[in-house]
Amino acid sequence: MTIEFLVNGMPVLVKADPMKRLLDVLRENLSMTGTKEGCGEGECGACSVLMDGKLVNSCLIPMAQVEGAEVETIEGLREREAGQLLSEAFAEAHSVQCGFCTPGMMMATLALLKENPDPTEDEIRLAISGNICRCTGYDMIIDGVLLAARRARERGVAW
Amino acid sequence: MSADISKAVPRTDGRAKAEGRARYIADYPHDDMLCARFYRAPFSRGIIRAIRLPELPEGYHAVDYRDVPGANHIALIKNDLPAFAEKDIRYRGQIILILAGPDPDKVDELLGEIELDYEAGTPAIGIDEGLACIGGPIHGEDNLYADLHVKKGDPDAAFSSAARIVEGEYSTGFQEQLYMEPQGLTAWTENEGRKVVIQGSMQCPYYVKHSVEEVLGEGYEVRVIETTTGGAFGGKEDYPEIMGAPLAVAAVKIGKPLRMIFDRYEDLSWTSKRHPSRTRIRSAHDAKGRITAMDYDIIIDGGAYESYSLIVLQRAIFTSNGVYNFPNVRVRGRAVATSTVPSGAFRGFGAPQAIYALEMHMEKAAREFSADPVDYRMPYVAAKGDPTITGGRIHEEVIMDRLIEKALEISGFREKRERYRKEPWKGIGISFFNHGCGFTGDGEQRLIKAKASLRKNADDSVDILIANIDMGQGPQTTFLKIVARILDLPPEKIRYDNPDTDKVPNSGPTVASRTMMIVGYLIQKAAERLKRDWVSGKVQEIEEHYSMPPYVRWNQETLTGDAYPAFGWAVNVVEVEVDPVSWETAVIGVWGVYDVGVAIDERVVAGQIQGGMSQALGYACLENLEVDSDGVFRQRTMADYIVPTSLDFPRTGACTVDNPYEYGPFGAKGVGEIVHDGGHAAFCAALEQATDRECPDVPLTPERLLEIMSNDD
Repeated sequence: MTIEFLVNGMPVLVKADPMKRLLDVLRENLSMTGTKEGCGEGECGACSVLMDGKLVNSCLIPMAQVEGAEVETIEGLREREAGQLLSEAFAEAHSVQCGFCTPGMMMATLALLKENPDPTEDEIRLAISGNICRCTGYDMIIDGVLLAARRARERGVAW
Repeated sequence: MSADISKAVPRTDGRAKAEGRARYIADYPHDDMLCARFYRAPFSRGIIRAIRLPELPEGYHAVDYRDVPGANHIALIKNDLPAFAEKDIRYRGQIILILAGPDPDKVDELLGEIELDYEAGTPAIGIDEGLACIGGPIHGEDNLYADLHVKKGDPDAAFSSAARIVEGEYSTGFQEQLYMEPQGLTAWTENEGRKVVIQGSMQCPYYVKHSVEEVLGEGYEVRVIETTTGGAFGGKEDYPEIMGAPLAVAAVKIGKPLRMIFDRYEDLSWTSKRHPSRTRIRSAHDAKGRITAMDYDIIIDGGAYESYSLIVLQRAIFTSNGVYNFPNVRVRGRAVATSTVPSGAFRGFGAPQAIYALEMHMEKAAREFSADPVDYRMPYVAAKGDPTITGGRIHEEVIMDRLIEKALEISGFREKRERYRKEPWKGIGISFFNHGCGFTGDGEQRLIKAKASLRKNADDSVDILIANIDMGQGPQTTFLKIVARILDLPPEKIRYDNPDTDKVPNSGPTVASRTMMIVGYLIQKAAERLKRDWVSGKVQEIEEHYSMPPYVRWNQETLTGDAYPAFGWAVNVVEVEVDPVSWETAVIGVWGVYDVGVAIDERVVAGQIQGGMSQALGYACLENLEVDSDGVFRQRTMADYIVPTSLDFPRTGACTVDNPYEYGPFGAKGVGEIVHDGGHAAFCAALEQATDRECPDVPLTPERLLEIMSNDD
């Protein structure tokens, strides 16, 4: 079937099986490989994207559900001031080690900070609890989120 | 000299990774590539009588052992694992052939149509069945890949005159590395099929090159390119060879580019895990409770082929005494063959198993003599000049007293330990440990012979040419710092690309906590030479070759001398609270204090400490990996194999104390593995205080704790 939706604000028309995963359409049809596949079963969060503003695992979203939706991926976020601010904070705080979970972690952080621009450490822990990082033990990811949240407030950057 | 270099800088690779611009192997274009998949043994042990393939459509190919132009083995230590199985099958999931074709779904469909006629044998699952040679020996006559003995002093005399003997048995389970990026490689040929290129996620490009050269034999050139590697933890030390050698054979036969990317299920099911272990310890004590001798019997489960079991066992044995200098010691270590996936490398490499047994035994001995766990350990902590169990010496200043003092202070250990004697279901535990940096013995000089280069370009930029990779542990940040500091260059004038064996010398594998201490030191020396010889505008290349520090003595025949040139040292403290209804254990405090020489970047090192602690605590209580009667792991998805989330453990209070090492860059030693060595022991020590029971096994899941609590109520 033909599915029409928005990716990072751009209208997209994709011919795909309605059961094809959004993750595969992003990576294969649209060559947007910033979104990663870590488990394929919604456990690790490496494939996190925003769909209509909500954080989802794109490996669990069949294309049938995407018709008419607005999807934001890391390729969109990184073009925005908020994305640049966040990636800079992550690099500075060493929130990144191997980096495979990081684009998904960026999206989970975006989903949190859109709702709550001044989160506590516990709120951050909860917000990223669906995103597995095997390298950092999460401490420095939390540091990165706190740093980014503070800078965005100081500089008036919108999430 | 330390404070300055240790000051943190942003991660060089941070932004590209965070923004999804860094390319992992699955991110490379692959329109022209065939999808390659393994057909794996559907039974755990026995003989293949016949294989019937379905008729393959045009463009689909099968590749098996008959297509191997060179030697049909994976070059690891013993070469016992075939690249493709011929007749014998030793584990469920063993690689039999490769099917490749343009449509992944069609490849899967064809794999499902393969028929296998076989004679099934009886698998031996776990250490006991392996030792009992259930189903007949898998390896040799006794199923032992190795049976090693080490002795120091006169343990027999000490045991026969002991006033008391304390005995204990300690076990650790399988553990999956669970790097977030699953295994993946691509392969293609160039120069009319005479050059084979392997590209992908890996720790050791030259190991992969060597294994491909062996399987292809003479007449082929091999090039290996590492792509940004999404975590490894040892899991990409041996497996890319196991995967890459058959893939290279297929690329040569088919003549088309191939792509093999595992999904998580395949990765969890069939890649190598940490060796399970069982260690019996007896300690001899005099009338005052002092330890006069130790006797260790260490057994590790090597799985169906030897792979790295011998050297994992050696590290376990050489680490068995941890930070202590006991006067008399006997160690027997065995690696046993069983019918599961060959066990392999995982951060720590035998040390987490050995430290666990030792530290749990020290807890037990302290308890037996009603002593404080810290005070009980103190008299045995080694000092500079003390003998090791291999007849070598500790050559460095040992600053354990400072580490211990710091750990006690930041954790409030003494006050809490005392208070929790009266408060039920709370406990705090401590562990002391060390980790030998670099290869065991003279391995660096005899086997690896590392070479590292710096090339200065005409524009006065500098390339770091080494074969070591950044799997997240930070060398692309820290090596730049070293070179920038010495040459007084801005970091943007220095490049350290992902290694390509056509472009970089063999500086050895990215393993064994060696990258910074061994290769970093070569790069430091190269940078110092380049600084001396610097001619602006001229292309200059400086290569450094490894040589052993002059004080190191080692005899590989007798395994005597200095097993490691230097050690990292550490103290971990873990505080827990047990829920006496659900038997869940909440970790409420975590601290780690380390001597890693000098931190090249304090945040890189703290990141290692925190991440390693998270893995060690996962190993301690979450990461349960069981095997069924067919040798198959029961936990084969991330829903079943549980690793820590952001909600499981609190922050790790991470701290280092400087102790510069003469033969490390800016005084640095290794840090990559020691951070996984002791957290699980401190966790169980805390749990023992909280429950007043012995907790001698990991993973100590709520189910296991329930068993412990019901058994001796």
